[in-house]
Amino acid sequence: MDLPLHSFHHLITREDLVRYAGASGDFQPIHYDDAIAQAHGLPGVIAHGMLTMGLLSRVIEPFYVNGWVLVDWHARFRSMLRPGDTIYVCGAIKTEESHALVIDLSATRDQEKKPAVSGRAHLSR
Amino acid sequence: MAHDVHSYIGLTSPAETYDIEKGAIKRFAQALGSRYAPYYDEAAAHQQGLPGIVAPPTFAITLKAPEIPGLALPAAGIIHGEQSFTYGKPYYAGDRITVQSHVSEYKVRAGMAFLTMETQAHNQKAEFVFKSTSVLILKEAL
Repeated sequence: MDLPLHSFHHLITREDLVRYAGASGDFQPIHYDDAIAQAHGLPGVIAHGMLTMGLLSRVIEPFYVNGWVLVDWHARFRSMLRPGDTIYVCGAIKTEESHALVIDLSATRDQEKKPAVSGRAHLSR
Repeated sequence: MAHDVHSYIGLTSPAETYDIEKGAIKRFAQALGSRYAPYYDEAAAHQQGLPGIVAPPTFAITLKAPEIPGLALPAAGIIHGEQSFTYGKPYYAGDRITVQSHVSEYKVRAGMAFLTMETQAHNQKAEFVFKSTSVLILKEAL
């Protein structure tokens, strides 16, 4: 079976956060205002966890053309990501059957071993 | 004052109904940098055997239920710890989706609170569309 996982590097920018805020309706100021983020003990603005989970969803897009459907998935947000961070977004097939597929997903900051966001997706067809 | 932690579990929001708009899906897909054509183009969706424009899987998070009465979340100091989605009937641009949330779990550990919110979504035919489960970590217990 051809399993075309789409893995990629992504530089998180402030523009990403602003676009994601607008598109998602999540206007919590810790995602766009450094002063407010710092007042809450953060080093500056941080990326929305759901932005990173959205990037993870791109990894499985190539499967949809082969009739695979995403049944359920989860993500764990392990550490904060900030503008200027470059992440490697990738997937690995955990189990593969003719009608069911389990894919492990991760977004890992360059030079680090532990993922900032990890997840698992179940697909069926 | 110590709160009876179980008093939050089961608290439920009012329902909210959304018309799924292709423009909103397009902007969301663009914000993720996706190039998957059925998020943008009806003809491309049809080519894949889909009846209409589909949304990225995390678009579900934008279909928020109203606030839960009786649950006063702090303005800041909330960390999104975990997120999961389970999908039922697919939904497309033009569908009407009704969502409702409830508190499914609330635990206090080491002064921090772990609040699990579950949102259920149904389409205009009352078919189950998705369940979204968010684990929120609150720096201070409610």
